[in-house]
Amino acid sequence: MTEIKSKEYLRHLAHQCMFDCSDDELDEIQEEFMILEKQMELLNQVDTEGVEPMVYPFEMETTFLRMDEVVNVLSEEEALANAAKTKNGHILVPKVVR
Amino acid sequence: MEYDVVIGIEIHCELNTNSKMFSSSPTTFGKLANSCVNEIDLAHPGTLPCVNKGAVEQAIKACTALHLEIDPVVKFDRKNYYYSDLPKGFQITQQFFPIGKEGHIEIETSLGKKKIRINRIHMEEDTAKQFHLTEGTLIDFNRAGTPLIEIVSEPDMTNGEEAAAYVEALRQTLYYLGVSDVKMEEGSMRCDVNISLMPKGSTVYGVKNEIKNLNSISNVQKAIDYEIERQAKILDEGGIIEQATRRFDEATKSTILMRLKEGNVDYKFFPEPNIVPIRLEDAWIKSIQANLPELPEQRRARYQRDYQLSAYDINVFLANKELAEIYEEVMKTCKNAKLACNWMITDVLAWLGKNNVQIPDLKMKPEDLATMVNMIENGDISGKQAKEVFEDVMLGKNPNQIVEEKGLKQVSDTSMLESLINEVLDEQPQSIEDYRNGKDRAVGFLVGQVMKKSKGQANPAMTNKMIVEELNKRIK
Repeated sequence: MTEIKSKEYLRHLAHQCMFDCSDDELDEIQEEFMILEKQMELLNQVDTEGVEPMVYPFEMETTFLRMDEVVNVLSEEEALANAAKTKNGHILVPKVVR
Repeated sequence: MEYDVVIGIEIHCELNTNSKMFSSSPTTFGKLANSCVNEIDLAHPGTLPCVNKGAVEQAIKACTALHLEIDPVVKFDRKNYYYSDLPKGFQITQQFFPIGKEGHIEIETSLGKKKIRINRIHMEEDTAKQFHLTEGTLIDFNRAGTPLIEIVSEPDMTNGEEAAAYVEALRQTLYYLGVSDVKMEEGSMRCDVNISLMPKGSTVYGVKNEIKNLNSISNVQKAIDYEIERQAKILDEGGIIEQATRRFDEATKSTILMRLKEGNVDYKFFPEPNIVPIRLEDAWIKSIQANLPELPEQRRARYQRDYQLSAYDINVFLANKELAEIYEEVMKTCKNAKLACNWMITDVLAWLGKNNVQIPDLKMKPEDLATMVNMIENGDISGKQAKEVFEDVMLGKNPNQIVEEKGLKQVSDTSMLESLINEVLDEQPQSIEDYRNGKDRAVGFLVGQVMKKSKGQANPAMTNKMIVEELNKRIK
């Protein structure tokens, strides 16, 4: 596995998620990752032999289904408010196919 | 070399619901871009999915009609991939526990009837629609979150005709159920075909290719026919088939390579932690199942029983549900099922095409068409007159009124016909002579004369019969 602690890898990850970090920020993230990694090591010491993985905090079923009704719709302006670029009411992103 | 062809089909079908699979924003087609979305569809932080009861109901209907076993506990999973049509970074689907498994549908081809097994039906959400331009990609999130079912067949089909019949049978069933619009050209029903070849008699499947972008049933058949030929040619020349995704190109009627599959993509499926398992109440499932609309095969049986129509006529009606529904209205007051059927599937359809009118916009009242057919049946109007009446009936006019206004009523009154016939015979002694000499043509001429005198209103069949009787009397 790629060295998580390497700054280059973190920079690459950030770039893939479409943002860039300053060196200071990368130092901070790197430090946090090291702490996290140590915590994971701690968790790894727990013996999980024969224990089923669980997905929900409470393994309880529900019977609730939402009624098929239109309740909440955003206006077009609200829907596009977070978009960096728009065109003709669409969100414009760099070309995703060649 | 001869090959066995193995075909499996995956169909995505948008469900007829008011709201989306996991959000309360509207499902629509052709609305202003990004006008039918909310925070859940756009994956704003902190939003949570909430399962649509209407979508589950539609999925239960589809499973029931296609004989699948329904899992009463609904669970969802995440399919992780990173692409701009998917704002969450994952699609919520049912990977591990589909709502339905192990069903089938019967198809009919030139080789007879065949059962195609269905492996599973699962619910999921649709993605955003993208438009790829030179300066970038435009995204419309209206479609994002639209409820879908995916129907996965077993690899039971062996040629293009069977595959087309399978898609058509599914399309009809889902349409009759009201589960989906099933418009392939608009993308509310989408079809991916997996196809591979293996040497005849082999039990080891060949390498498969997936064909996408099949926007009509005839293209399903064309694409498969082309692909079989393409793969056979490569194998005949000693080449190997590479696993790939291809698309059908309408212009060249061929399949074009989109991308090679380098191993299986790892979607890192795991259970969706934001939706806890939902147990469907047994009584609710049963009430949906007990109230299914009539399915195509049930309608076929009913038309055979009630109207005694031919298989061909029934197929025309099954393929055109709206037309069939008008026919049923017509048959409430019409006496002759076959005659009414002929008017529906030839004249009405031709009229719609010629005048570019859609059935919902039709002004014709079914009871008026029924009246018209009854008039023909009773001999009140001739077939030729009916054509004239029909044109006005299609515009919403009442046939009694049309007949009245145009003076089309056919004369079937024997005493009136008798006097006309005698008048004509008295004027045409030569024709009587011709008839005596065995010239049957004379009868036709005389009928024509009577028609002329009656201004086209004489009942031709009756006139013919009575002229022959009168002639036989006179030549004795």
